[in-house]
Amino acid sequence: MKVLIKHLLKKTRTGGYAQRDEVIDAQNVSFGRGSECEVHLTDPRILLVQVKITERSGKLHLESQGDSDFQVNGQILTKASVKPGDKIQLGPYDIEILDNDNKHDAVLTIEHSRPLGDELVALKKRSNTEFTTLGLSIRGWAWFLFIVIITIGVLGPLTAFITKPKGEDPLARAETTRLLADADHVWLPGPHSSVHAHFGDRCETCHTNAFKQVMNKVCFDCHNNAGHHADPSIFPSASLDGQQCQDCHKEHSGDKGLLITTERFCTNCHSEILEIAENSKLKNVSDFDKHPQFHPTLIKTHQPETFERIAIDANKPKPVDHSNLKFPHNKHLKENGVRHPNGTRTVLQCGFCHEPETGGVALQPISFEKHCSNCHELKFEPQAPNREMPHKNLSQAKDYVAGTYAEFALRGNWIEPASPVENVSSFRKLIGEGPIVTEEQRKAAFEWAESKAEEVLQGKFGRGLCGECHEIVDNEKTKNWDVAPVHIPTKWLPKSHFNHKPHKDRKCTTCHNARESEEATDVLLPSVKTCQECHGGEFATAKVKSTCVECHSFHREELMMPKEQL
Amino acid sequence: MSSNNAHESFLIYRGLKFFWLAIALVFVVIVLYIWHEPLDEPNGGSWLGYTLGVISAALVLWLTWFGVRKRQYALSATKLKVWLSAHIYFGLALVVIATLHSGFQIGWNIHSAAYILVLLTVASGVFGVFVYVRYPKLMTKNRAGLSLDEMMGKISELDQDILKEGQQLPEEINSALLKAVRKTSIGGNIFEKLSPKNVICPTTEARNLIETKFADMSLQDQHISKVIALLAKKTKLLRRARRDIQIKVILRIWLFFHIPLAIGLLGTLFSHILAVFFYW
Repeated sequence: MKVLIKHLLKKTRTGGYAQRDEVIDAQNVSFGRGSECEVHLTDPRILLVQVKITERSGKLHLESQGDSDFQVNGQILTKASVKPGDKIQLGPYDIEILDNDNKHDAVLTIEHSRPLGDELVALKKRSNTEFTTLGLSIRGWAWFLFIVIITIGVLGPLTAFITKPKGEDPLARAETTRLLADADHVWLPGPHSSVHAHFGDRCETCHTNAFKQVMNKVCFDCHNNAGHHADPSIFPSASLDGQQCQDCHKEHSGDKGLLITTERFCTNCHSEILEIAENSKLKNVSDFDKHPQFHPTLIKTHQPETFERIAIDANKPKPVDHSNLKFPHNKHLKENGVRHPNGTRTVLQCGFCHEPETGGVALQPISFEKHCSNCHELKFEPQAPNREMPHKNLSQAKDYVAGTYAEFALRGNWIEPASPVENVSSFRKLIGEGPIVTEEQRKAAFEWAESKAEEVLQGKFGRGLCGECHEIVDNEKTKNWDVAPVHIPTKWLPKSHFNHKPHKDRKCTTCHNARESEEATDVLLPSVKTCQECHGGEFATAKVKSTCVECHSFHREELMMPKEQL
Repeated sequence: MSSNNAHESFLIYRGLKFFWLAIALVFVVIVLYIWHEPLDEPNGGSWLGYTLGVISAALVLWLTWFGVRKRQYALSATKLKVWLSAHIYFGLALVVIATLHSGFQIGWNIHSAAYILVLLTVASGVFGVFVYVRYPKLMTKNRAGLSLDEMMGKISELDQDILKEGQQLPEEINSALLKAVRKTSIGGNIFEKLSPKNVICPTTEARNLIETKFADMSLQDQHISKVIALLAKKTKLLRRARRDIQIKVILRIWLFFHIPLAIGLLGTLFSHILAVFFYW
């Protein structure tokens, strides 16, 4: 195909065009911006290849290339056959097909009619197509965020640290009116435990030096009775020497971290205690469900005082506690009550004698005066019905009895029971008519009183009365008797603690089988199985979760840690 | 490196080499966390907590170093792709390691702020990966060989035709067309760039006006039918031009979050470490 292209360049004054002719001889003629195009159009709105013209059976065919189109006589098209006289609009260019001459297959003019003009400039001016900032540049935002964070995270807390008043009583309530007083709160990794909450924002109470770990000394300032876990001379592996309190006691986790309550902490060693402490006498324990039976510490001999630990086990001989008292719980707890000296009957409950301490953790000790004397009168002489022996000790009791008879003798109002019909004092008759005045009379009276007291104390109102509740010991040498020393244990399980208060809604007899106890030697502690009915280990699902520290303390106060090492 | 690898995506670089490395690191860390039995609750202060903290801090520093590395143009581009691949997978691994370092403890403090910033920075980075995988293709498809400048050129050319055709038409149409030519803009503020659909466009308004009110006339009046065709072409070009801008903004806007968050994270990390050892 041979095409003559007349480029209409510029209108002349006469109305004609300055023109440049170009002859192209090619199979197809393509129009476009690209240099490979036969007709090179320079306007930027033109594609690299915009349109191709081919000749088919004498006709010219136009076909758009890429995403473009053209207009033929005002019609928007992408493919068209054109004939001489057709006007084609190709973007900003106007093409007109002229009549063929003999030399060429086609003749056409092309004019750049609509050069890039004001519309494009105006459109670009109106439009904002660039994206470089979002209020600030990326770098600007980065600096902004960095400075804000350093201000809040470093400068504020440091200011609070520097402006803090030094040397005040750490327990005094922190003053918070200073500049940026609370700015260092952002450094707090978590809330204080409730027991240390009163330190408020006085961080330096514990954090005495910046960049130095909190040392044990700080803890011992208040907690100076924290003891070893086990005697380090016997169990060196359990020694806490060289350990920091905060290795285990983690502050700033609220109430969670300060005390370790997990079973694992204890059972790491105590599930196989002999592996870590070969001379231990403790039994292995891995969970409360597998807790060994209770072994109450019981007095074995009184002189010298020796103790033994015996298991509460139904299959083994029952433990015996030699308190030197006689007390049948079953008789006192009979359903129809106990007989009162005044002839009535009283039904006793446990609480008549066992009163809870203030706070309810334990029970108050039993006192004879308070709990026994109402029924168990220490009367010894029918002629002195208001007199009772003091309970404190035997020698006081003896003095009191002797004094009572001496008073009878001196006052002369004693009626000898042997002759009750005579309405005069037989004693007075015995030593004369008048009042006792002479030294001999007085001496005789005291001798009588002494022998009378001795007679009473040996009899049913003396030895007999004491022996109702106390063990009586005879002294072989002096032929005297005495009340055996009483040993009532304050704790049968001294390495544990038990709080009665949460259990107060249970009946006492749920755990303490007192109604069937006939002897004071009975150890009325429940078996561990009784506890296990309600309490389970850390991972129990249908029981009260009870880990070791529920009943046991880790630090033993009697094994004080040496403070000079701190 | 063969020419095949030059077009390998940063995501699957060398058969997911860094993906598997990061997975291995995360696996080891999770196993350690499960195996470790702290005295009480898991905590940043146990030996494992400190270890995870050191790893996390080192990762943060190395990940932010990418910002420096990518400006070292003198080093080869392939190397940068290696860095990017590692940057992505170890950035994701950091989320797991930092979470375990925290022991799942969260509060209103600088320590948790550092953790939250890790999460936000990585989240913005994940968005960036998504954007880089999805949008370049869409952009090429949308451009179809035209640059934004070329589109705008074509639009202004159409404007000339529209004005020419409008001269013969009733006043209402002509003024709408004039407005479409004089007031239509591309881009705009950040919201207009991001959601061009919500932009009130005078060209669309003019097209709607003619199509609804003067559609019947187009059968008789060639000018109207031509204007409708021109407006349709223009709206299509406008949509493409705006979409082009939208994609360009999306491809870049995530960096406005990712980079400042990362730099903020550096500040928070410093505050966190200072606070921990200041009040040790």
